[in-house]
Amino acid sequence: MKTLVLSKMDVPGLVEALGETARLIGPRKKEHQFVFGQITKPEQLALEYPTTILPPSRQLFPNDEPLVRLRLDDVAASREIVEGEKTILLGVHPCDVQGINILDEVFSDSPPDANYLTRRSQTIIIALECQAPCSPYNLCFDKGTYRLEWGYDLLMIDLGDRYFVFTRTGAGEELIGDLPFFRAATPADREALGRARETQAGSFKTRLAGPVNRLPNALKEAYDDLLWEAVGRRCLSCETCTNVCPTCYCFDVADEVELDLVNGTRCRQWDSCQSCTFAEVAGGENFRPRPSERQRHRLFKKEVYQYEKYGRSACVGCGRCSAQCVASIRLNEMYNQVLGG
Amino acid sequence: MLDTAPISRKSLFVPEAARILDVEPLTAREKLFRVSLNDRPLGHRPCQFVEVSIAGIGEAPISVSSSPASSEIFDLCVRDVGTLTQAMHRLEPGDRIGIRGPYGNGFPVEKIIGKDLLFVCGGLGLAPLRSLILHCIENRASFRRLTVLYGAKRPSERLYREELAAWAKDERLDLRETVDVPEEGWTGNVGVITTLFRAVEVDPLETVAVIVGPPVMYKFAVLELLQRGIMESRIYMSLERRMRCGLGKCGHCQMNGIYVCQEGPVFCYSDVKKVKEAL
Ligand SMILES: Cc1cc2nc3c(=O)[nH]c(=O)nc-3n(C[C@H](O)[C@H](O)[C@H](O)COP(=O)(O)OP(=O)(O)OC[C@H]3O[C@@H](n4cnc5c(N)ncnc54)[C@H](O)[C@@H]3O)c2cc1C
Ligand code: SF4
Ligand code: SF4
Ligand code: FES
Repeated sequence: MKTLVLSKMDVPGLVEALGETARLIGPRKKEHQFVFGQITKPEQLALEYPTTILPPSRQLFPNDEPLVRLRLDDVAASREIVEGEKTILLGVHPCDVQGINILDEVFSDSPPDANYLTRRSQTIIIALECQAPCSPYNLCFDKGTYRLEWGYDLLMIDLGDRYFVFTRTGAGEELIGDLPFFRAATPADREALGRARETQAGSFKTRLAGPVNRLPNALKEAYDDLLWEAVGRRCLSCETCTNVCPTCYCFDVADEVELDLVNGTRCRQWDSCQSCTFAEVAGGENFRPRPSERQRHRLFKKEVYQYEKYGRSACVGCGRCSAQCVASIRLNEMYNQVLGG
Repeated sequence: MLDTAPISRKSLFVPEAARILDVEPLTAREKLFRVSLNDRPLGHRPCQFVEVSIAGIGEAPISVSSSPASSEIFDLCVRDVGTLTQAMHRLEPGDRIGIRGPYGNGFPVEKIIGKDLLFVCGGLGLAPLRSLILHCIENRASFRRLTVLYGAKRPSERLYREELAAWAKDERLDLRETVDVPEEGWTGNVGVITTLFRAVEVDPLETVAVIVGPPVMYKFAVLELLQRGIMESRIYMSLERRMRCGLGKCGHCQMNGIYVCQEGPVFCYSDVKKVKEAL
C-alpha cells in the first residue's frame, strides 16, 4: 500500500488522463440530484456529492443487460454476449464500494456469472471517503460501512485543498503509475489525515437503537410481528426500494426481437421481490401475495438469509431505500422497531 | 480490480440446441415432447428440470419426465399456460428448442434403496414423478413395495393414460387413481387424493413417501402420511416455485433463504418443516 497526495488543482488533469485510458464513470449533477455517469470533461465531475439516485454497482449490473445473441431460425447459432470494457469508477463512497463487493460475492458464488464478472474484472474503483453523513437516512456509521478496509483499488480522503490517497491493489498503482499528479505523502499530510479522520468520526452519529449484530436474531424473532402488516398497508409495491439498492440483484430474463424477425437478444432485466407477481406460478398460486410478506422478505434477505449464507449483512446502509420511498417507509424505523427502540 | 480465478467467459445463459423428435398430445392441455440434445445425452437425475427456450419467446423451467437411464432422448410434458408453453405447443417434430440444464438437486435415489415406496401425485405432478417411478420400475429389485397414488381433476385430464393402463396391470407396482370430478365412462374412485390413502396398507417403519402435486396438496398429504406413522425424514416432496435462472441468482424461487432451483426442488419434510414459506 502506498500513501500519496493529490492536489485538488490536479483533479481536472487526472480526469482527462484517466478518460484517455478507460471509460471514466463518476458522480455528475442531474438537475438537483446526482447520478453516476460517464465523465468526458473534467467540469462534469462533482466529487462533493450526496448519495446518488442509483448506486454505482448498477454500472456493473445494468438493466436490460444483453446475455445471449439469438437467431430465431437457429438455436445452435445462439452466442453469448460476455462483454466488458476497461472502466474506472471514480469517487465511489465507501458504502457503495461495499455494495459492489457484495454483488461480487453473489455473482462469483457457484455457478459464477461470466456476464457480471467479465465486466467487473475490467473495472477499477477509486473510492472517496465521506467527511460527513451524506444522507439523513444512511446507516453507514451503525453498519461500519463509512470507512473501507478492502474492495477498492485507490481510496481518496478529502483534506481540504488536497486528497490523501491510499493505493490498495497493483491495478490501482499501475493506473496512476506514470501520472504526474501524485506525490508521496509527508508527515504533515499524515497529520492532516489524522485530523480529518477525527472530525469525520465526530460528525457521524448512530441512528439505530441497538447494535447491528443483533439484527439477524431480532428480525427472526419478529417474523410474525405486526410491524410487517403496518408496513404492508402503506407499501405501494412500486419497487423503488429494491431498484435503488446497491446490493439488490434479483432479475428476470426476457427475449427482445429485432425488426427483421430473425435476430434477437436474451436480456437480463432488473426485477424486484416487491413486485406482486415475483413469486407467482402457473395455476395462480402466489407464494408472497401480500406487500407485508414482500417487505419482510426484503429485510430478511438483507439481514438474515445473506447473513446465514455469507456471514455478513447485505445492507450497506446507504439510505437510498428510505430516502426514495414514496410511502415514507424508512428502513431505520423498521430496524429500530425490531431492535426495540 | 476483482481478484478471482480466471473467469470462464462462457455465459451460463446460452442454451444448447435440441431437436424435437416426437410430439404427442396427452390431454387437451398437455403435450408430450420427445427431445434430444444435439451434442450429448442430458444426464439427468429423477425430478430434475431443464430451462426450455424458444428464441424470441423466452424460457421456462420444465421437469424431465423420463427415466434417467435413457437420457439420449428425454421427455418433457408441457401444459400450455402462457407465452413459452403455448409457443411450445405449436412446435412439431423436427423443430428445435434450446435447453439449459439439467438443474436442481434431483431425487436422492441412493437413500431409498430397499424401502417400500409410496408415490403421491396430483395433476401435473406426475410429469416430474414419472422420471422417478420409471427409475424404480427399471430397478425393481432394489425396492420393496411400489405404490402409486394419482389424483387428477377429471378423467380427461389424466396424463400418460396408456402408461397408466399398463401400470394398472403391471404386478411390479400398485397403482391407485382417483378423480375429483367424474366424467362419463369413469368407473374408478372419485374424491380428493387423500381418500386413496385410507385404502393403502403402509408399513410405517419401512416406507418412504414422495409427494408431487399442486401447492395446495402438500399440507394435506403430509398430514395424512404423518398420521400413518411415516417418519418426517422419510417424506420427500418436490416443490414448485417461480424460476427464472435455475442458477441460484435471480431470486424468484426463494423460499425464505433457500434457493429452490439449486437446493431443491426435492426436499425432505424434516428439512423444510420449519421453513415458513415452504408449505
Ligand atoms: C421446477 C419446475 C418444474 C416444472 N415442470 C413443469 C412441467 O414439467 N410441465 C409444465 O407444463 N410446467 C412445468 N412447470 C411450470 C412451468 O415452468 C410454467 O408453467 C411456465 O414457466 C410458464 O411459462 P410461460 O411462458 O408459458 O407462461 P407466462 O406467460 O410467463 O405466465 C403464465 C403463468 O405462468 C406463471 N409463470 C411464469 N413463469 C413461471 C416460472 N418460471 N415458473 C413457474 N410459473 C411461472 C405465471 O405466474 C403465470 O401465472 C415447472 C415449474 C418449475 C419451477
Ligand atoms: S419504495 Fe416504498 S412503497 Fe415502493 S415498494 Fe419499496 S417500501 Fe413499498
Ligand atoms: S437496503 Fe436500503 S439502506 Fe440498505 S443497502 Fe439497500 S438501499 Fe441502501
Ligand atoms: S430460479 Fe433464479 S434463483 Fe432460483
